[in-house]
Amino acid sequence: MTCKDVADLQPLYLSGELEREMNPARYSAFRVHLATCESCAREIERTAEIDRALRDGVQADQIESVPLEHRVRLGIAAGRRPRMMMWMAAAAAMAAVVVMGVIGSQVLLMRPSSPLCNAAADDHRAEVVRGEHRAWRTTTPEIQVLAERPGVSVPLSAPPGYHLDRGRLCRLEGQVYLHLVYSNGAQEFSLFLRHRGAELPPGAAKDSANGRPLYTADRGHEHVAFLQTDRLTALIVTDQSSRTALELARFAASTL
Amino acid sequence: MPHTRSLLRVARRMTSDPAAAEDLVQETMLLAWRNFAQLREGSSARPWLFRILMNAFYGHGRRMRSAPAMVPLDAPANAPGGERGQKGLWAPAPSLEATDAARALDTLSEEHRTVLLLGVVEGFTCGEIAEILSVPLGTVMSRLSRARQALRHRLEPKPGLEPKPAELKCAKTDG
Repeated sequence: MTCKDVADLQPLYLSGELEREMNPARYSAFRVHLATCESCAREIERTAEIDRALRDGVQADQIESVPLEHRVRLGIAAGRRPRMMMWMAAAAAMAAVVVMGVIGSQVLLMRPSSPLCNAAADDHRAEVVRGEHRAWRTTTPEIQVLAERPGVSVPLSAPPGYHLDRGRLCRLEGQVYLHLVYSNGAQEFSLFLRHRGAELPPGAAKDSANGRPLYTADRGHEHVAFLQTDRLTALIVTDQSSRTALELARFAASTL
Repeated sequence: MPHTRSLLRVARRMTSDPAAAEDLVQETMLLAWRNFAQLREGSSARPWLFRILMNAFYGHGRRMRSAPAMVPLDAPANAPGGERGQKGLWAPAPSLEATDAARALDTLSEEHRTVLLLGVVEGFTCGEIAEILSVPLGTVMSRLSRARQALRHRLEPKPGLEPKPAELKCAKTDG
């Protein structure tokens, strides 16, 4: 593995696809090179910094989409109007709202983020409870590079008694999340983070902390807490109890 | 309607014209509505919507396409390219480098802007970008590398380092 190889593979590394696209031996060689070549490590770190700056800069654009969405609904209704009665056009507009909701959430449910909570619970069960083999990053600088991808930062603090043990990227409902695992030596919980998008909470809020509503959902033995800050979507998964999930979410709400 | 804001954000940066961007996204959403049956079950709608957006954008030819903006990096943050630099009531102000990076994006070629918007700003993987733009994965990787180099060159110009011919037109505006 040469410095040029690393430079060529940099896009896949920064997008979190490298491990999947390469055979294990070559991926391992990439990691070894990065760990031993200061120049390549610095180059990737700087690229990730500029990526983050670009993302923050463009996402600061003020986008007002409501008038456009109104135009789209009218456009959908108007497209059918010549062959329809007015009440049918109104019904078409309402149907458009439903279908566009489906396009966004993929499901015909009023609680479209439930699949997200389920996906987080399944990921936690596979990777943390069952310990299925995954390539985790275990140092904060490595995890911080990963965090650029979903547009987040590694939290500065952990709940009392816990420490950040490892991290990796994963996909939940088609979106890239930073999956962090915290441990207190006996028990572990997962924290999934990504830049806030169109995710919707599951059902009604169960509690609030620091002015942020906290939501919970259960899936089998896994208990999920969901919260959002102005910039982040966070899911916490524990196999201890719903109450523990909520307590961890309260901590996250006050520190993220 | 989820994804509308993301589509609009990218469309604005591609067209450099808020009205044209709204028309483009409206067209995208209407096409998505008419062709909803083409969305494969279980597949994500987000790349599908962006693929429609990009097809519509390129389908309009030069009418809707903007040349790289001639923006000096010390221009006011709210100069061209829409409303960047403005924040929501509670959003923290972007750092100086973030503002510079967003401004420098507008000076890049359309090809470079496209892959940076999709890959860096919207978080699509290289594989997803390849599908959205209907190009091979290797092409996406090399475009992303070149786009990052070009952006970095705008942000960190090195004395004595001549820009590549393709960048000359925009680089002149940096000084």
